[in-house]
Amino acid sequence: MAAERWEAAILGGGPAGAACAATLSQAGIRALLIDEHDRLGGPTLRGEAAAASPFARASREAKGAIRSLGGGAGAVLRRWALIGLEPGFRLLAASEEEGLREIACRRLVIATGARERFFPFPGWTLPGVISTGAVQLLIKQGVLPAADFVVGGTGPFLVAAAGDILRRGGRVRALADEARLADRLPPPGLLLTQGAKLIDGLVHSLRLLLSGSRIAHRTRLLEARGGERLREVVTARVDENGRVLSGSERTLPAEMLAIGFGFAANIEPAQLAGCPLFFAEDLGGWLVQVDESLRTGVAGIYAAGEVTGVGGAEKSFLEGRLAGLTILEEMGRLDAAGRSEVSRLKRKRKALLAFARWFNRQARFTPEYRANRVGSLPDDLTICRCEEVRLGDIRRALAAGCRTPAGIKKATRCGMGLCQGSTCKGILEEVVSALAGFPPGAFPPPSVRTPLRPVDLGRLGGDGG
Amino acid sequence: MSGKRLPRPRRGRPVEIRVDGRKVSAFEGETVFAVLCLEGVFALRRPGEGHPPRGALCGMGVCQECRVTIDGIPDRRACMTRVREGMEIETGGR
Repeated sequence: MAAERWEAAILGGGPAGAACAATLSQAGIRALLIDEHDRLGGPTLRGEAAAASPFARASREAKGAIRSLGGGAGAVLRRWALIGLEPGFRLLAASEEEGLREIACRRLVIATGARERFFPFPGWTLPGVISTGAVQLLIKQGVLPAADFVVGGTGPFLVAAAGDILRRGGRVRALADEARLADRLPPPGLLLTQGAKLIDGLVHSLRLLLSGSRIAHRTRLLEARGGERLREVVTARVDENGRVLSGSERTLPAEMLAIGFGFAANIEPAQLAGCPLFFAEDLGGWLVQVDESLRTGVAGIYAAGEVTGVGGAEKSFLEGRLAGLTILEEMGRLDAAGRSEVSRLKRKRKALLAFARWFNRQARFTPEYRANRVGSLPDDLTICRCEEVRLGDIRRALAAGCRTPAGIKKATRCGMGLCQGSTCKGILEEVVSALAGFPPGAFPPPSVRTPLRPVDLGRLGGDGG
Repeated sequence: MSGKRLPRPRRGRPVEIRVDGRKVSAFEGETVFAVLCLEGVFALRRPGEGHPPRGALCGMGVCQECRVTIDGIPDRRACMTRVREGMEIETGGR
């Protein structure tokens, strides 16, 4: 298979990747943007942002960048997923329809975004229990997937999802947030720089309250019930140590339960490339280490957007532009105006990181809280949905002497299925550290291997690519 | 009580597809996942004998839980595939 050669390859066509590709492409650099989806923009931009939304400007700019991609020296590959990365910057990509291709590049920008985190509870595998992000993507497509919802989990994103449902005529019976209300209050400094986003959240909350939805904090999703699909949701209040307050259980009928527990960066391609990582709970967990110019620890590899700290579309768009300008500077193609833009972007990035740190600050659960939360879950609870690994399997592996998520993965196959642990590796880390009494981030993320995405070898065989 | 299409200026051309043999109307640009939600079809696969069914979780191509058979090809992600005229979708695979 002959590799095509590019000056730069950009992984991920969300706001960060699109901004970076547009910056390089407009400067005459042969840059290839690779995205798994058939439309660019990432989950945030695949629809119309409301005109009044504080995200509208970043959204408009990123969409402009996407439109400009056709005009420069770059190119875009849609519906191609990175599955491997070989020494010498050789990327292996796969497409469901077209097989495999090899792409060689001198520089690589990792802008692979974030995915939603989950925390399991009985019934979380029932059809009708879906992520808040899934509901929002469906709404952006013009489809409200059900009429009657409960929204729950942890994090400020729950309010935005519930607000979207309501605005499109859906009913939100309750919003159950396990965090305390106090965790939702922003520090005063943020009001100055990020006031518009905070007000947006407040408007969503007010709309929910006015519609008669119940917003309940320190309230846990105890169980989802149903047969062929979700029928009802049980919530309960919890005390400050994470124990359910008996008598506080409420059963709510619902067609759909939208769950969200914050975000995790898609660091796997960076792991494969050997980029050093770091852990910051208030930026989304394990992340790619970058300097202020967005260079990773591997020469020639840059990272932009959620993978450097989960912070939303505006931060991502800024970082994509900054990574592009860094590359231009290294190539000696940056003029004085470009250099002053770089300094401005670096300053603004600091303010956006402060917002990100607040946004990701989940309920700061104490060790006792985390142990009680996991301890109350039953043995037959599914942890790994692909390999059908139950919590009891993990408890048994711990009792048998496994001490780390990596050891438990080997012993139980947890995280070794089709999704490569995308859904359960964060859960496994939380379960093991809670049961063994370690703080978050105590264990390195499990290693990754090629292929990063499931590949049907039968279909790819022959002369694919 | 079920989902609905939202009023929206830009919708693709109408198409007709089949879901488990049943005729269903949809619009170009909609994902298989979206159309299945509108039809109230939430259970998409069955992990095995005696296991309860599973439905889509992440809705953005990551979790692999929305696998269905499309035009005879198993394990296609409903959330990553857009409907086409005459498409045949079967749920209930592993």
